[in-house]
Amino acid sequence: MKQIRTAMARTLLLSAMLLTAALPLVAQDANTTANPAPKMVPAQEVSPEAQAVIDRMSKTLQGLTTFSISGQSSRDEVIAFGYKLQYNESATLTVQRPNRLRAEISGDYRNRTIVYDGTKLAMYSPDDAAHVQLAAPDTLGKLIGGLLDAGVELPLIDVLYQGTTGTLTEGVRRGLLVGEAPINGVLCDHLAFRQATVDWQIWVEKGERALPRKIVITTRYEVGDPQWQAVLDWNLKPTIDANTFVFKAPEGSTEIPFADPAAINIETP
Amino acid sequence: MNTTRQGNTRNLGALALSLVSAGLLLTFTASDADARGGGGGGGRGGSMATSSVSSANRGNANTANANRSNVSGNNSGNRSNVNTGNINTGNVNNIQGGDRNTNINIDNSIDIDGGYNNGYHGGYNNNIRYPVAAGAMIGAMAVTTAAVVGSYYYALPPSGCTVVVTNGISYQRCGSVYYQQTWQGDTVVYVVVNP
Repeated sequence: MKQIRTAMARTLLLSAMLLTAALPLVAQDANTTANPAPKMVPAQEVSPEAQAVIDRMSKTLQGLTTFSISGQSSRDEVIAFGYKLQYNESATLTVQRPNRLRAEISGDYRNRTIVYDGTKLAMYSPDDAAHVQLAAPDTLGKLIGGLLDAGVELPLIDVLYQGTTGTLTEGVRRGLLVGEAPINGVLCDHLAFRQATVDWQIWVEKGERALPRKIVITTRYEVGDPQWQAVLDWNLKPTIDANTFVFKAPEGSTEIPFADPAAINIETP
Repeated sequence: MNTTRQGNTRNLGALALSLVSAGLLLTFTASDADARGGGGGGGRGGSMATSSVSSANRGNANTANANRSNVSGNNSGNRSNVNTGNINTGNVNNIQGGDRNTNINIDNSIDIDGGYNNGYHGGYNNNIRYPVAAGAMIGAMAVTTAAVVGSYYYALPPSGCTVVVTNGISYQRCGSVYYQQTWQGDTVVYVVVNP
């Protein structure tokens, strides 16, 4: 039964996507005969079922105060001749709202420790034996905005963004509930979204605890349609000690300047 | 002091892919330790998947950010140019039996679009490879070995550099050029300075 429903949802999804593509043409044809003013295609159409899931997830994320997320992610790079390589990364984010964050990232192309204590942001790259420390805004929400602007790529920043400053569906054109699917044994609602440059899917735990368990982002208009995907593991009772949100420069690491503090809207101390 | 950076957990310089094309066996290294810029996310060669919806939104919604790295999904044209240039050139030089270690001279591929993409805010999507002059060299497409103050690189020249400390700040002196390690976006780069 579930499979049938999923299949139906897929068909619906497909037709919705196709319809999207066809709409502007239809509108144009009609306009040439009757009214030269172009009709607007609705900017956003997220099905009520999908929106309900997003709302549940937002509520859950906003209700968290202390948590940690472990994410295993992979990311495609399409190189010459269409070869696709996959890079893997694992990241653990420990968050204490409103303004504490620690991220430990290790992966194929970068290793980082990022610590935010409510006043400063420190980032350390062991491979470069270098770290940077910046004065930072006083809330996680503002920090996330600054990081996005400055091009600092914090893994799972989407999850933090959704829980703090905004909603991921801002740029969405179409969104639908695909069906149900278990991720690591946890039954989830599976949503699919389309927007200008990316398609994305998210699996949100069913029930009261509506946590995102998996995210897939497909980059559109890029040869090979590279994808980034992450499976998330949640710990709502993480161990936090006195050092969790304190950055101590590792021995041998040099403090270096940040290229463009203005971009991140924060100043070097 | 040898300033060549250590590769990351995986040295992709050792990764060679081969394919049969038009009856020729071509090999190329997917990347090169220098070009990759060590542990940094910088200097990526191919089209990387966007890793964040909110970042994509930010880029799309705000034209002021259009040149920033978080519009990684939007600069495909520029990026594929770089790739094509680098890798294909390499291949031409490396048509041979399917062996490893056919190094493409990625080091010499000056990034043609470095200025436009504004790799300024760092990040893997800049595809800017060493040696690259961007930032201060916006729009300049000339291939030059002259180091311009303010230009930045993902790795130091292989010729060898020494650490020089002036006023408590350490620089890498490579020949007559001074570099300072700088954190840019998500990546550590070397900026040409005049200490």
